[in-house]
Amino acid sequence: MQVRSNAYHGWAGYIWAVLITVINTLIGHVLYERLDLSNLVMVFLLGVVFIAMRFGRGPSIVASLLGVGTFDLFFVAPYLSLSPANSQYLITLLAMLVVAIVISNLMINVKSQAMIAAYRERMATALYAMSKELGSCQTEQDIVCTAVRHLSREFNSRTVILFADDAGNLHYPKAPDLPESLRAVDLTLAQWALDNDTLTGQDSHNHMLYFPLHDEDKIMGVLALLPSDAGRINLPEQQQLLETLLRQLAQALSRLRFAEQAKSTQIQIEAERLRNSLLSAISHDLRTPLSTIIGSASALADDKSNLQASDRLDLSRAIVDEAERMALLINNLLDMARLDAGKIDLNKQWYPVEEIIGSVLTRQHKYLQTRSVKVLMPSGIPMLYVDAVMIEQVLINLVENAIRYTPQNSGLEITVDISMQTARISVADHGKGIPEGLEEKLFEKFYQTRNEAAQSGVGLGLAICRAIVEAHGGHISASNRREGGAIFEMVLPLDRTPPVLAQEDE
Amino acid sequence: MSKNDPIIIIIEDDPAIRKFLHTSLSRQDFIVFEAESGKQGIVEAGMRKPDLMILDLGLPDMDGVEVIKSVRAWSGMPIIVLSARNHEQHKIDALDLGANDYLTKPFGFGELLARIRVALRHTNRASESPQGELFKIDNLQIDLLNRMVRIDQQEVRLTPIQYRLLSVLVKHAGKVMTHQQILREVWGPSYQENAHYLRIYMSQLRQKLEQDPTQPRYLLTESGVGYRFKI
Repeated sequence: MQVRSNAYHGWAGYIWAVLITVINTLIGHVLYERLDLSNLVMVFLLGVVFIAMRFGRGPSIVASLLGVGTFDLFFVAPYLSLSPANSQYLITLLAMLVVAIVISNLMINVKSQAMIAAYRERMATALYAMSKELGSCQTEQDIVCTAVRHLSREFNSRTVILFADDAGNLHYPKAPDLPESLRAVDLTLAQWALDNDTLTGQDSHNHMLYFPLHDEDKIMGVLALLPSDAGRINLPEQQQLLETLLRQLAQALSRLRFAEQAKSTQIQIEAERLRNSLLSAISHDLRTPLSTIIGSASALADDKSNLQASDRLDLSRAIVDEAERMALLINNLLDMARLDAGKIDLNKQWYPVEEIIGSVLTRQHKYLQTRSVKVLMPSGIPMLYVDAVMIEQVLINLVENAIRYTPQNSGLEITVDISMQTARISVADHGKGIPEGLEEKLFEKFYQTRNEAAQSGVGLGLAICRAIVEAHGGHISASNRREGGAIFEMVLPLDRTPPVLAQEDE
Repeated sequence: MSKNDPIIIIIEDDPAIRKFLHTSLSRQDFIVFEAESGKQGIVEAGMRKPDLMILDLGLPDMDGVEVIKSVRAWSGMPIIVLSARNHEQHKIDALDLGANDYLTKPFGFGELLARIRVALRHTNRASESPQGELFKIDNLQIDLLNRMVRIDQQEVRLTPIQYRLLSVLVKHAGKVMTHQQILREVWGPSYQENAHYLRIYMSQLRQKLEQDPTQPRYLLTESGVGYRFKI
C-alpha cells in the first residue's frame, strides 16, 4: 500500500513538473508584453517552489531545468535557440536549482518530522489507552487480558503471560484462551529467560520472544510474544514502545499484588483479633461450668464428705446443668466453625412452616414448661423451600435466648406472616428488651450483653442465626416492641412456587 | 437380678461411656453385656441373645452401619444407635437399615432410659398381637382392623392416603421412621424422592388429629430424619 502510493507520487511529480512548466510558459506568453524578463523568471521560480514543496527533489530539479530551458527558448532573444549569448541566464538556472533543492530538502524534513510526531502520538495514545485500562483492572486476569489485547493490536502479535509459582516454575495460565492468546511456547526457553532475567529469542525460523516481567525486586513471570512481522519489532521505536508497555504491565501487576498483600494482611489482623476474643470468651465460658462440674463431682466422689442424700442430688443436678451448658456452647462453636468455613451445603426442600415450628417447640419442650407459648399463624400458609434443620436451629437459638434472658414464667409469641415475596417468622418475648443501640451488635460474633455474668453462651447463637438466614437469601433483625419485650424477626424470600398436590377425597 | 430381666448389649469403644451405661443400666434391672468393637459386638450378640442393642456408630474397626446389617440378618431386636452431632446422613442410614431409634451424644440417662423402655414395649407388642388391633392412646383411638379413627369417641374422617400414613406410623409407634421408609410403605418404592408429599400429608394429619399442630402430641418430627408416632 505504502510502496504503491510512493510510486504513484514519483510519476505524478515528474508529470506535474512538465505540466507546471507548460502552464508557466503560457502565462509567460500572456504577460511577456507587460513584464520585465527578470520578473517573468519569478513565475517559473514559483512553479519550481510549488513542485519542490509538493513532490520533492527530483521533480523540482527537472522543473528547474525545464523552466530555465523554456525561458531561454521562448522569452530571450534570439528566440527558439539556446544561444551562448544568454549565458547570464546560467545564474538564473543555478538560483532556481538551489531554491528547488533547498525547499525540497526542507519539505522532506518537515514531512519526516510530521511522520515522527504522528508516530509518537500513536505511541502515546497506545500507552495511554493501555495504562488507563490497566488502572481500572481489579484482577490479575483482567490485567493479563488487557495487556494481551493491547500488545496484539500494537504489534500484530500473539502473546501469553506465564506466571512463576512460589517455587519459581512457570506455568500456563488456567484461564480460557483469548483469540490473541499464544500457545505452544518453549517452556524451557521461557524458564531460562526467567531464571537469567534476560530477553530471550528463539532460533532463526521462529521469532518468538521471551521478556522477563519484573517489578523493583522480583521477577513475576515471562511474557512470550510471537510477532507477525519480526523485522518491524526490531525497529528502535517499536522496541521502545514494547519496553514501555511491558513496564506498565509489570507495574500494574505489582500494584495489584501489593493491594492483595495489604488486604490479606488486614484479614489476618482481623482473624487474629477474632481468634483472641474467641479464645478469651471460650476459656471463660468453658471454665465457669467446668469449675462447677469438677467441684461438685469431686465432692460426690469423696467418701469422707458425709453428704446427705439431698446434697448429693443438688450436686448431681448442678453437674448435669453445667455440662448441658457446655454442650450447648460447644455445639455453637462447631456450628459457627462450619458456617465460617463457608461449607453451608443447604439441603433445601419444601416444608410446611408449622412442622418446623412444631419440631422446635418439641425439642425445647423441657425448657418451655413454665411458659405460655403462642403460635400465631394465618391458615393456608404456603410451604417454604428451606433447609429445615438450619431454620430450626435459628428458631431454637432465638427461643433459647428468650428463655435465657426473660423471667421464668413470661410468655413467648411466635408469629408467621406471609407477603407476596417474603415469609416473616418472628419470636417475641416479654422481657426487659434490648438495650438501646445494640440491636445490630447482637448479631456480631462473641457479642453478648454481659449484664449478668452468670449467663454465658459466648454470644455465638445470633451470629449463627444471621449466617444461616443470609445463606437462605434472607435477613434477620432485632428490635424492641412498643408494648415491651424484644422481637427477633427473620425474613425469608419466597422465590419459588410451592408444589401442589391434587386434592384427595375423604 | 432375675431370669426375666431384659438383656442389653452395649457396643461402644469409649470405656468411660461403657462404664456409665453399664453402671446405670444395671441399676435399672437390666442385664448388661459390653463389647468394645464391632466384631466383638456381633459375636456377643449372637451368643447372649440380647433383647436390645445400644450401638455407637463410630467404632474403630468397622462402621456401626455394618453391624446393623449383620445383626438384622438374623434378629429383629431393637437397636438404639448413638451418634455424634451433625451426622444426619449417618443416622438416616442406620435407621433405614433397621435401627429403631437414635440418640445424639451427649445425651442424658433419663432420655436413654425412656428410649429403651419404648423400644422394648414396641417389640413386646409386635410379638404379642397380630396386625389389626385396637390402638388407644390418651383420647385417640385407632382401629386398624375396621379402619376407624376416633378422638373422644368422635369419628375423624381420613382420606385413604392419610389413613395409610397414620397406620404405618402407628404400626411402628415409638420407633423413628425415616422419610424413605415411610414413603416406601405408603406410596411405594417409586416415590422415594418426593419427601414433600409426605410432609403435606403429615401436615394434613396433624390438622385433623392434633389439638395444636404446632405443638404436636402424637405425630412428632425428627428433624432432618423423619417422623415418630409418640406413645
